[in-house]
Amino acid sequence: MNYEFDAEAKRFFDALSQMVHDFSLEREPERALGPALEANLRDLLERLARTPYLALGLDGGAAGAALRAMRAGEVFATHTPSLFLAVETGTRRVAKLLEAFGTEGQRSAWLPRLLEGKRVGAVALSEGAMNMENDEFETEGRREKGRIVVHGIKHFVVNGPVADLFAVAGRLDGRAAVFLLERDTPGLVAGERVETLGCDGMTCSMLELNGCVVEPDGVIGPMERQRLLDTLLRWEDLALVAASLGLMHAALETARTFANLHMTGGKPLVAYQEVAFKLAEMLAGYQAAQLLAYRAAWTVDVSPRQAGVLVSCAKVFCGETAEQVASSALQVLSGDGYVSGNPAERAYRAARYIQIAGRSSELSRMKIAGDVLGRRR
Amino acid sequence: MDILVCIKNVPDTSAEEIEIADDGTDIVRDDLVYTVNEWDNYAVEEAIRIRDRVGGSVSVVTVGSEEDEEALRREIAMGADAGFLLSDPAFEGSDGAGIASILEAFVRKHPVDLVLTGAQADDEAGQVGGMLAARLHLPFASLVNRIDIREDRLTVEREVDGGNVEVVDIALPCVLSIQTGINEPRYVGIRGIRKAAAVHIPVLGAAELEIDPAEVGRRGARVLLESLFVPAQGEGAVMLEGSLGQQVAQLAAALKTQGVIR
Amino acid sequence: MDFAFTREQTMFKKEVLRFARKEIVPRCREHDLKETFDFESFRALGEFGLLGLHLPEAYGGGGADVITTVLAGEALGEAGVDGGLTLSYGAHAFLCADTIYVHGTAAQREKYLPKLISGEWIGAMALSEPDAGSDVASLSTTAERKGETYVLNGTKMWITNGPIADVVVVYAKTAPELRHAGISAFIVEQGTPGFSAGPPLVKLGVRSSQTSELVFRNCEIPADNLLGAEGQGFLMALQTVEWDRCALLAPIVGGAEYALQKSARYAKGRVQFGRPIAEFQAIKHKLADLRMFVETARTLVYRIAWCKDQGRPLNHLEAAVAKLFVGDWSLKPLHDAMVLHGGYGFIHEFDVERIFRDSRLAPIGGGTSEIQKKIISKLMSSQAGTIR
Repeated sequence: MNYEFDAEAKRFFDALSQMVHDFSLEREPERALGPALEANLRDLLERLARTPYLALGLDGGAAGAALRAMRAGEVFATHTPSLFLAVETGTRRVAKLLEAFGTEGQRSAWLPRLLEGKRVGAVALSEGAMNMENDEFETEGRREKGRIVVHGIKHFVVNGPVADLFAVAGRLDGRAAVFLLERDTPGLVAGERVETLGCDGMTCSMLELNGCVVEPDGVIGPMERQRLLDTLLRWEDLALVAASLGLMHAALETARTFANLHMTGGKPLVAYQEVAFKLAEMLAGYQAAQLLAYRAAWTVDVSPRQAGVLVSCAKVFCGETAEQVASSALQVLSGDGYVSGNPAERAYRAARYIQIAGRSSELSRMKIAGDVLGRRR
Repeated sequence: MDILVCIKNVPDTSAEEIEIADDGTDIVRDDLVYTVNEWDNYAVEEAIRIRDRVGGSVSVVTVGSEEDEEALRREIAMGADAGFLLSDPAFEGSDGAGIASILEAFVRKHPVDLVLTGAQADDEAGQVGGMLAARLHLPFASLVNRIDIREDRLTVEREVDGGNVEVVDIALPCVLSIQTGINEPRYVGIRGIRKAAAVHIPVLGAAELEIDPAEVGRRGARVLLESLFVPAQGEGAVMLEGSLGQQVAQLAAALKTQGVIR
Repeated sequence: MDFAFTREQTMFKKEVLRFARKEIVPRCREHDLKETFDFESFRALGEFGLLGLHLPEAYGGGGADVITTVLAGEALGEAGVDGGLTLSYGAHAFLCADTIYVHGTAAQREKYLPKLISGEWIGAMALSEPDAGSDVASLSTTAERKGETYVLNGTKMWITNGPIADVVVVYAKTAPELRHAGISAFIVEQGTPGFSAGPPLVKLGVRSSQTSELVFRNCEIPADNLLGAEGQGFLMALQTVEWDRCALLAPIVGGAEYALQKSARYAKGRVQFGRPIAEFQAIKHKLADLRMFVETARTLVYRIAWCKDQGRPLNHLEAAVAKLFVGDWSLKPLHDAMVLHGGYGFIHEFDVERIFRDSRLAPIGGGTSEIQKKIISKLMSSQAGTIR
């Protein structure tokens, strides 16, 4: 047993934190509008490509990648949860998909460009519903004269308005497959950026596929649907868990700093038990979530088959605790929190996304219960 | 007296629910917790007690995989002196006769005065002890619940039908299958576990044991498990509900009505 | 980072489960119901080697590390041992025997440890008073040096094992004017004139453990019974917190795991509206929430154990987080486990109501949740405040 990261890992986290911190101070990505949204993502990707971050878990299975990515994601998301989610649920997930199921040709065509931060990726999974667990894909590829023609409509595509490469999940030959489509593919229409409750610095849109033609080497699969979903959702869930840790950290620090500095009735806010104890509860929730998340990620590294239930536990617990911590932070911040543009308020809104994206809290609880009921008398 | 106890690592049915796998030829083994077959603990305890009384040694042996080494370590922690893991891909899927022939090969290389087995294990076949004795041309007594040592012979008591006891005089060396109730097996403490952790457990395969791989394992098996199934629910069963007290009252009433008791 | 247990630790946990299910659990329900202490089980714990698991082999102990010791406590809870017995074990082994081991002289260790480890003697620790719980500095029990003796006067309250203890580690003031620095620890044996225990208190949970008031009225003890030096008592009491935040929390976490297993079994067997209630989503949610609690609580509790094994001083913030979490976050899921059982959950025979009641000590004993929040918020505000 060991509850600490080694010195080398800590240096990596510190350097990453510093880099993203500086970038966030300079660009304020959570306040970006219009073209700045895309520019921020592309510029940050290029900077990340100069660190070991983008290649984490993609360098041929280096030990401990999921755990490292969890802590790295936490420090990253503390400064800018939107760009963290854009990089993770867009770009890295495409890379993971290529690594897990792609052909040699597909990997050599796309992995280097993604990992060099030169291309922005997007995964198009959701359709009418955000979670695809209960519904068949309606998006479908049909074989016509040696090529595949894809029709369908996708929703909630993170990076949709800005991506260069779309990994579109759908049906092929009655099984599941992923179609790799470049932005300029005829028939591919990425919608306008949709207005969302949270994650202001991230872009999200619908995607229409009107008879997009894919060569056979642009298809991953076909494969078993559950295998595809499990891979896509595991890495999305891990990213969402890391994001929720970052949200909690940012909200907690904002509230703590405010409570120490803000005076009321002649003493700092923190001198009031109702504030101090709230901060204590927030910290307890954050630390509990953090350790559960680390353990879940560690299990993904050492025994992936047993990791599912812990990832689901972390997904639900961290997502829900993030909303509670952010809510408490807003209460501490009072009027200052109610004015838009502070980390607590952003965390509060983003925490809603965490709980519905990936495997929703409800679906995750079903997974956990399935495990409880399956293995016990 | 040098004693060998043959043990088996089996699913822990006290903690786990056993389900039949979809193909019907095995139970679902994912995530099952394994433990030493209960009968084998009695056999090891008896062996330890005999050794402590008359001197000699206790060895434990099992046919299995790397994961089954823990079972050997547990029995060493209990007090056995040595453990041997008989493991080879060729051994997988052996039937009872196959297991007995693997054990036979081991006993021929490591002769002992007394071989003990549990009366049965998780498959409830209770066959390995008898087959092993036959292969070794040794006398055998099953369901033993008392052992007295008289120089080169043993007097053993066997549990027979209706709670009756049969007393047998048996020459050494011999093979006995041990029934629960012969003793009260000790628990393993932390010190025993620590000591057992340092013990080297040799792993012996088909080559070391000079076993023809074609004679054992799936290839050599002449008894094949066709299918496992849960019998269809019949008529006439009554489920008693309520607290234990209520259930007992209902049961007593039912037994009276059916004329079982008066 | 590495959350794995060693092979020996896992093997030992299995063995504790096996032992407890067979030798202890069958009697737990009755003792909880009658509020009687189970001497037979206590001695069995000693024989099995749990009472001195973490103490050196020289005194008959197991020489185990902290993680193994905590794992054993969790296994007792998971096997279904009631919180009363595990609390008695905890107070005996960690609050009494451990203090004598860490601070006692060779003679004191020789005299007390073998008998405490075997279970022949039962130990207790007496710190709280009717008017001094969380506020330790306000203790009013005094110990006055008189030649070769100390004379103790005062009343102790909430003393686990109080009515049955053979040996008590008592905290009293040798220099009241020095507040914290004036507290000293003493070993007091049962039968010492002037020392008496009140009748057992009737409690909501942990009912098989015996809790009472202890009264010292001109109780004269040999000066040799002083533990360590005068004035060191407060630090000794503080050191027991290291065990309190891992070894004493572990049985509660294990108990929650037991409740989870019971609930899953019940949900599969209980048929309503033509199908097992396990198939209803609302039931599944309750099972999932309890599982989340168990997994999270485990990681927090073993962090404290791991730190202690590393020989580090207790991180008070992490310890308070573990205590607060186990105490407060267990309320809803354990309540839900009870409700999941419907009427059966409300009666004694199904154990879940006992686990619920037992768990309610967690936010009170050894420092209330409020005290934990006080510690956390104090340590938080003293840290530098930048997001990095």
